[in-house]
Amino acid sequence: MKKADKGNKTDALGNTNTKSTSLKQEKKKQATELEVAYKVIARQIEEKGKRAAELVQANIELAFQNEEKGKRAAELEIANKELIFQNDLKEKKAEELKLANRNLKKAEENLLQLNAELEEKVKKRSSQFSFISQVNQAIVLAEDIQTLFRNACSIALTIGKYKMAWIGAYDEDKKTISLIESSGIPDKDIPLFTKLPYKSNSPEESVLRTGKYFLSNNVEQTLKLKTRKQFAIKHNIRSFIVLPIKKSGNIYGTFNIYATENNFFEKEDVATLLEVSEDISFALDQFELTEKQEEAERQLQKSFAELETISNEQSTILNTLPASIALLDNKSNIVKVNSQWIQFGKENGLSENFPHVSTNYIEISEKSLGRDKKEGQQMAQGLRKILRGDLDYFSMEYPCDSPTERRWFRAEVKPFKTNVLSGAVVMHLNISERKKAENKEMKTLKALQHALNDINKIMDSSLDIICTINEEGKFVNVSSASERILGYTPKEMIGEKFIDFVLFKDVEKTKKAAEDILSGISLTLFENRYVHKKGGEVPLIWSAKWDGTDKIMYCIAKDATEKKRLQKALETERQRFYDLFTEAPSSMGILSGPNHVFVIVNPLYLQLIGKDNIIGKTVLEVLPEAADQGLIELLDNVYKTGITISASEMVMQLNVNGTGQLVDKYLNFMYQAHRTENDKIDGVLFFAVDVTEQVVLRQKIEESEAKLKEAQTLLQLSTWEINLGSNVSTWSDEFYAILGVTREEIKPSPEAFLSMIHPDDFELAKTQIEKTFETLEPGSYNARIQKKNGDIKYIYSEWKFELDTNGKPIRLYGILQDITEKIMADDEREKLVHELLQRNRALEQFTFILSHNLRAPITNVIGYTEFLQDDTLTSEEKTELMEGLASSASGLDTIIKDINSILQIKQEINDIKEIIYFSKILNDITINIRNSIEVHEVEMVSDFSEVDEIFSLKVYLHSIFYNLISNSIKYRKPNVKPRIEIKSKKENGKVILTFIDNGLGIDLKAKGDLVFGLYKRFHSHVEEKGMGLFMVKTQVEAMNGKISLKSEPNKGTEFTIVFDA
Amino acid sequence: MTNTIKRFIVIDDDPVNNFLSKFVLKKSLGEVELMVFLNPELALEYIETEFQNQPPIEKITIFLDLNMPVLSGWEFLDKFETFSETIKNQFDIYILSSSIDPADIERAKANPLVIAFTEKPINKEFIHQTFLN
Repeated sequence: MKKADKGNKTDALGNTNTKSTSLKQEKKKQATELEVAYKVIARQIEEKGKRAAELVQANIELAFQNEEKGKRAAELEIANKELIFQNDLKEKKAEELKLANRNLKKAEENLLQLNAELEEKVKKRSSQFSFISQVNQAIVLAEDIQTLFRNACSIALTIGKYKMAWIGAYDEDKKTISLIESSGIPDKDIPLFTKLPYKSNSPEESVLRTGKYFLSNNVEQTLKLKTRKQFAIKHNIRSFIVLPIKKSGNIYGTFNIYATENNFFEKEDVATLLEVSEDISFALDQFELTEKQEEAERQLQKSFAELETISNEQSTILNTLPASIALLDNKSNIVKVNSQWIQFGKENGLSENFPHVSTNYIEISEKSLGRDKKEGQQMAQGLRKILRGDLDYFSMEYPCDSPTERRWFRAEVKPFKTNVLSGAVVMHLNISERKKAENKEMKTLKALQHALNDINKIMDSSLDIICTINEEGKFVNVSSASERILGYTPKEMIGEKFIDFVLFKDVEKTKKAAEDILSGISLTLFENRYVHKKGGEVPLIWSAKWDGTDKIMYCIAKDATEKKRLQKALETERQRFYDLFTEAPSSMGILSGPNHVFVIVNPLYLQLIGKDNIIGKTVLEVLPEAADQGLIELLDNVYKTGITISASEMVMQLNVNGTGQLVDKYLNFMYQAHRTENDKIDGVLFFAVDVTEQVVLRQKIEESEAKLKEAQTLLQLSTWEINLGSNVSTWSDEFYAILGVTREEIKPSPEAFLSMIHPDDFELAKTQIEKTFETLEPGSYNARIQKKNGDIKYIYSEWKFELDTNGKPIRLYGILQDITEKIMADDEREKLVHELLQRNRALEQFTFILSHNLRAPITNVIGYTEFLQDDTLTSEEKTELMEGLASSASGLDTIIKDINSILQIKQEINDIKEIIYFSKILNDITINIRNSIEVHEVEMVSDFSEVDEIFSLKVYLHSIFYNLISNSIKYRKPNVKPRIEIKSKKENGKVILTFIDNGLGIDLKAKGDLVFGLYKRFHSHVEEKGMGLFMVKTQVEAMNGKISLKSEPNKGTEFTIVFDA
Repeated sequence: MTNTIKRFIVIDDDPVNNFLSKFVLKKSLGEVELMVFLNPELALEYIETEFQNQPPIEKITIFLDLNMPVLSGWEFLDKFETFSETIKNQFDIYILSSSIDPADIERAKANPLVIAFTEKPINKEFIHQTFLN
């Protein structure tokens, strides 16, 4: 302890008594000097206060000086005596001397008194130092804080001569202080100092707040707390001091010392006590530090011990030597190693005294040379990463042979962290045994593997599945043939139950067979079916044997698919042949020998002849009726000559019903010689097809056709025909009626018929007929015919060719229908649809007008009225708004009128049509808009020479002319004289009107689809509504016409209107 | 609200409505800068030439009608689309139309250039909500 030496020299304080015996005047000065010296010393002592060593030194010096003075006093005495003797005679001076002596004596007395005071002071100092020294000793000796406190308190009483002393600790949360140890306080009063609350400005609070001591040399004046005051009075406590005790720089508690006299604590006492309390504070810190260090050390030891335990455990398990372990700090300096580490070092050539601890391990690793260089680098690198925190674990295995044996080590590095130290643990494990074992095992394993490979190769080259199955019924090994046969690789089968691969139907019998094998019966040629990986059955033939010692079943499975397939193919073939034979649509059979004995016949044959059980009987026996019809002769002939005989539709009369009544049977048949292997004829094969039904049917058809012909000639249908041989045409009466001509007027011929066809349909009819002669296929057409009286009739004709057996046409015949009524009805419907479409379009337009045009003025009206309600309007604003409102209302009116005129179109369509002259209409309009024409210098050109009239509605035509002309004027090109050219012509019975101008034109690419839309305008400079063209189009369409236009910007516009005349 | 004067361009061929719009805007917002185009083509020309290098100050609001001759509101938007971002960024376009056709409203919503579809007549509430809040 740093302060321990302080009190050691207290013993050196000796007696400082001096003796002065003689009084001499000459010594007066010296006495004065002495006094001054004393004063200096006293001041020095006072100044030095707590610094014991210096004080002691000073005391020693003082003592020494006093001694010196004593010596010198003695010398002076001798000198005085000599002087007395020398001056005995000089009595004159004796009186003076006496006086001087008396003065000296006085000085001496003063000196003595001073000396005594000094002694007192020194004593007190010495006791103070003794106090400090004792406390320091107590600090050194104390094992814990409690003891230290106890000792400090008792020392205060024994050495410091105080009445009471106690040490307490603050509880700042509860604002209390509690006594920990005390001395001099009676036990019954101790509770007074437990959880003693301190109030502001109380001594305790002051110490806590300021960190400085609190001194009261007059308790009565200081203490305010009643209980404590009572306590003070009771124990006669007059002064006290409260000293701060600190821990880690903070106030921890107080050292309270009580004394029984007023003003007991002098400056020096306070200094001493402060030092004592500082020493105690210092001791507290030391205790704590020591405790922390010890804890850290304990933890480190514990961790290391654990590590060693783990290493030992590991070494037991791995059968290796215990690991060499070193603990590194975060700079990789070795902090601690175990004995194994030192041992390992020795084995690698390090001396026993090599200072492992504090060596830098990364440096060592990096310095490794030669064979270890690579490993050293690896270790250094790994360690760096661990220390940087980049890795949590690092290990490496490396060879490290000793002079006598091959060795392998495994190094493991892990990070390590406690609250005092962070770093890494390095462990080296000798894993030589494991490595050796591994190597050895490898060799044996290789040999075994080799043998196993051979066996596997043999197994795998087998076309059959060779496999072993264990007691649990699982495949232990399977040769590679499994993949070819079952689709499963051996890998997929090994470990699986064999029964899972067996076809469901065969599971039962396979299980039973397996039981047999397990009971020792070896099985050969057991057949079952497995399921292929891709589905489908695989028949297998097994031979299997159970090995009781190995508890394994050895099996070979042969793929029986081919065998099964052949068996099945044979069966199928047989069945197919039999099916052919029995199901064949012809009767057939084999006759044997010259007597034609039935060997085999099919059911159809039995059915044909209406007999049963004929096998083994001769033809004659079975069909006695046939003998007369030359059958036997035919068969004999074939049997003898080997020449095949065949015939068609040959009639045979057979006793089919068994009644003896013979029935006609028409047969197509063939007799063929049947030969042995030696090509010798041993019988006759016969085939017969019963064509009776067909023959009868054909006869019937021929009959009915003849009848039909008869009927047609009898009934006068609207039919026609052309005999292509004679080129004579025949028309029925009804045909004439449809055409509206008599037999007398026109002779039937294709040309005569074509002449009656409407000119427009003539070409079509003609090409249809020509086409039909090319293809000879049936055909038809629709056409109109024009009757004499001008009526049009719609007819439909359909025809067919009659071909001879060679496919040559001999007759063309057909029917003719009058479909006029039907066509009319269709026309009517079409008109209706057209009208509906138009109505619908008008409705769409109406919706459009509603949402776009009608609404616009209405919104204006709403807007204006809304603002007119504003009270803050000025009269000017009001007028403006009223004007706007009026204008909106009139706009609304215009739109409503427009709508009305559009909707009127529908009504006018029913108005009376009349003959209208284009020229007259144009004339009327020219007069109407004369003003405009003159102003704009419009050049009007018209040509109605080809057709000038049309049967239509005047109002419409007028509107059309008016709108198109006024549009042309409106959209004239600026600075160019407008020119409007109107022409009419007739084409295909249609009247065509064209209006051509040289105006602005319309960009049809951009606007084409909008031209005829309602309220569509294409130029913004003209005031108009976009109604004109919409009206024109609606009116043209209402008149069943069509309107189209051609136009290019700045090149003018051409409208074309086509009316059905 | 900034203290700068609000700027508006009204594109509508209906002068009666334009008067109303002008009136409402002035009445609601006090002093405003307002330009009216009866012909959308002229409006496009104006926008393209005048706003080429304009410093970006407060945006100008365009009220665009749909049903117009020469160029419909839709066609106007198609052409406006082709303008540079600098120009486009200076305008907020509102459709101001009397149309109550749901197809028009949907089409306006689908057009990213259009802030909103406003039904005619333009009213105070709309002005207040849009420009004073």
